[in-house]
Amino acid sequence: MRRLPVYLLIDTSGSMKGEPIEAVNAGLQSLVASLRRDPQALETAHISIITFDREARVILPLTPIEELQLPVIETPESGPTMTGAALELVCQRIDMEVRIQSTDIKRDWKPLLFIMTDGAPNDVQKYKEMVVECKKRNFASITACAAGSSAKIEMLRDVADNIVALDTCDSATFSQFFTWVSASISSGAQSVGVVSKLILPPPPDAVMLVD
Amino acid sequence: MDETKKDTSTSDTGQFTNFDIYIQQIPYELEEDGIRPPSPSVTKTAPMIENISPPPAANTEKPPDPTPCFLDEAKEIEIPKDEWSTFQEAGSAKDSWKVIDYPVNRLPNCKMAGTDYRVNIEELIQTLQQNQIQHVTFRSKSGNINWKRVDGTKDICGQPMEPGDFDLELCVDVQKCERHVFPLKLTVNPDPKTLWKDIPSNPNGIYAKPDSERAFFACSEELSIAAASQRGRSHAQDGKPRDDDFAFKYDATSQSAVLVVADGAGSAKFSRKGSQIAVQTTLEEVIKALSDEFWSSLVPPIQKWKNEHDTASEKVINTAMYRVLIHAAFEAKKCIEQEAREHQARYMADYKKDEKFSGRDYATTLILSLVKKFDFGWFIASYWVGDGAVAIYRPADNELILHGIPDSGEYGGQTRFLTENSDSVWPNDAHALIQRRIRFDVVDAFKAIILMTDGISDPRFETEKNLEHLGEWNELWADMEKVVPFTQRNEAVSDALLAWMNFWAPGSHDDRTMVILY
Repeated sequence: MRRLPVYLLIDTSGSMKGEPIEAVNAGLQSLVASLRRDPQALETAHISIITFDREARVILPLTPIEELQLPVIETPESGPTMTGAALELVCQRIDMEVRIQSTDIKRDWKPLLFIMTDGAPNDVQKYKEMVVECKKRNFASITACAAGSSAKIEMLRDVADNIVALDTCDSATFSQFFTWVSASISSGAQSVGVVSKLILPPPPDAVMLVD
Repeated sequence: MDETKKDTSTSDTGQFTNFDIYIQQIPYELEEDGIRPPSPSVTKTAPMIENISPPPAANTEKPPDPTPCFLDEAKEIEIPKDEWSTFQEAGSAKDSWKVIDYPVNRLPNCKMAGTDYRVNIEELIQTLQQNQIQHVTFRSKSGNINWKRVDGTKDICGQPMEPGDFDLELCVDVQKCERHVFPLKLTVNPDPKTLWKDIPSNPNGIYAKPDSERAFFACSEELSIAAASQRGRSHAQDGKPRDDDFAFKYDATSQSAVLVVADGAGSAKFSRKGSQIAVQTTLEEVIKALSDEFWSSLVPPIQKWKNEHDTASEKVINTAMYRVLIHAAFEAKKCIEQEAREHQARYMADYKKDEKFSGRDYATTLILSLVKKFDFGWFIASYWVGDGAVAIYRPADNELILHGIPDSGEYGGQTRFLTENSDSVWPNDAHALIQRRIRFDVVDAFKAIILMTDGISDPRFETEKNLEHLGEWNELWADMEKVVPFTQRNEAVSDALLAWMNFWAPGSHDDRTMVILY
């Protein structure tokens, strides 16, 4: 079966501690619940979650929706935001997990990438290197979410096709964001076979598209 | 420090003790059917069950974890008397029991509502000293799932009929009047089949076409054409129109047939029109090019090629096919571009807005086959751009001729379109174009010539390599024969073919189209 690989990169640096990260956990729960109700996503979407703070780690390897059990995401007290390391890890995982170019096996659909951050990369040099690497990975779309006022939108422009901004990091806003991510994944699962870049559904009020 | 922990440290680990498992069908109630109320205060050995299979090797070999992390959070509470009355009355001399609550454990998800679910509970309670276990009770706290114990195992099975998240509970009574309570969560996935909707497309929308179509034509007593096209579930879910199309024509005088299928790109706005123009235009153009003179001029080279496979004849035939098939395909591309321009003009007139439309908005694949019967055999030529498949199916001769090369990209779903201006589809060099896109053969007989879009080839063949395997085609044909009465040679065949196209393949819900000459 053809899989739609979906990678979620989530900033877990110290500033996300408390309500923001709890909102992320709740948002992910409802995201998965709604993907379970979408027949196309239920059958094709595979989700991986990578968190990043002082280091990047895979907290959920690429897993089909039907088998998926969400881990609880936690944050350290404080620490830097190694966005570059996260991009490096996602590239490694894609090379390992996504099936491409072979006549013997069924190829996957182009992967989707969502990056959510409330700050700016502390590993700028690596970040810049990895932006180049990401471009080589042929994502159907890379969507970045700048959560809160400290998120650096300018840096995200380098890597993302689409950028959305959230004014606040509260649970109501995150809930809207994850609902929209879920709709985007559903639309990705539906428009499979698309050669051009994925067109995302219009975001809700609290999620602003940045030009 | 709770007692469980002490127990674990002194436990003669690795030793396996049989224990009984009680299933409670309804929360907080004990039921018939071999379920006995536990009598924890009475010191006794655990009930023995005959024919118990030994525990799985992996479990016995696993070294015991001296400090299981979830035990750290266990806390002791008094048993609420009202809830456990049945339990208490069953013979407890003591007024209260120690209840040790464990953190919530998630069971592996149930793949699909309505299917059997089975889980082994042994691992959950492996931290308990097994020879002290007296009773194990398993029950649903929410949801209506009939749990059963699999005889002779530590497995619980059930068939959750409804999707959702459910709370379960596993209670383990051990000696010393302790009840260990393991709350469990179980997620049951919905059956995807129940989630699909079938919303009709708008019959008055722009470029509307029927959600399904079928056609049958009896060429002779021994030759027929059956065709069907079915909108995919992914389109039906949103009331979107079918993007696939087909066309065919048989000419009795020349005993020749033209067969066409096209798959409009899911990403292109008006691909349903693109595929329609593609099949109709190519059909008309090919028929226009065929004449008695055309065929009679080709008899010598085709006959020669059949016997000798010589390059000179091949060149003549290829040139003729270039003039017929590639010309037709190119005319179709031009017609599509013309339609795009006209639509742009109409859009301007209707909405007073300058919106650009091009062939790209009508992107479609195309498979076109020309078949002609000669005294010395069948001549078959095909032009193919995009995915899907076309093949000459000759099981009697143990042969499958895949009539061309599918276009595929690095990732799934990437392909080429008739409407694009790339070098791959429309190279400047005619020889390169023939080499890549045209294929012809002469065979004595065939069981069927089959053209299909990737809505069928993708789920049925999985990979491109499989398209070349006769075995895979045999399987496909056998599967179709189960429902399609090919021997009847009437409309029942195309009706059944359309019905067959509803077959279920996870993750594969594209439009499906097939044309069969048999």
